[in-house]
Amino acid sequence: MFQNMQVLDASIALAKNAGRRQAASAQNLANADTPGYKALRVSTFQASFDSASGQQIKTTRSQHTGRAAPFAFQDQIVNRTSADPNGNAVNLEEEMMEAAQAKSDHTKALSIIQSSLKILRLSLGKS
Amino acid sequence: MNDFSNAIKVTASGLHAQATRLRHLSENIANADTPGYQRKTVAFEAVRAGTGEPTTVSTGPVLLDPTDGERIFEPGHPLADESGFYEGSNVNLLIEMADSREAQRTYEANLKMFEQTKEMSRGLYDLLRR
Repeated sequence: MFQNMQVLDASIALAKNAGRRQAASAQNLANADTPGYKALRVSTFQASFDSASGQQIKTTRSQHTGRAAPFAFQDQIVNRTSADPNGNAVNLEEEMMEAAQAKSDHTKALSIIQSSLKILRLSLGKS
Repeated sequence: MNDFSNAIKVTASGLHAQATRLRHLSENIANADTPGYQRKTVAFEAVRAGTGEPTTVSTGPVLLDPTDGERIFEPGHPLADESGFYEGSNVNLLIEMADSREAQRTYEANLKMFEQTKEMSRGLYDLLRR
């Protein structure tokens, strides 16, 4: 059962990543008309998951639970060449798309957490 | 959770900046026929509060457009000089309309972001409910 906690770990990390991406898009959108502003990007959950899953602690017995390395996210400043004449590099449509993706990822993560909690609660004998 | 409050703060600053810009634009449009009126422009500035803080946006100082106004021929006008011309405003309605369209578009995008962030944090709180 406790191996299952990794599900919670991963989904919490996904929810966090979605939150960060949402905040980054909000910042980009607010600065959509600021001269010289460079768009901010947060690396996707997929990228950080791929880099974290390689660093998992090895276990010698199947009963031991290996803790996955914490998922790390970095902000990246996007340097786009096709900037506006005022040096702004925000693309409104791209940001809306990014925000929609963050929202769907967040909903996904919250659903996983909710159903995991339900299973845990059920296994504790509560309905 | 901190990300959501940051996002809401940043979005609110964006909404405020666009609203200020829209106010100056409507001032310009209202004074399009005022003789000698110079159109007002505001520039946006990114405000970096420090590491870990979001980059909010605010409007810079109000600047006056220094270009000359349109010369209008009307000898009977009280402001007309000896050649019969007087200087109108330097407002170009087309520019103002295009600008206000852009402001509206960004305002709506910010508003949508605000609602979406609110929805996401509500979903988080719903986890606490059984």
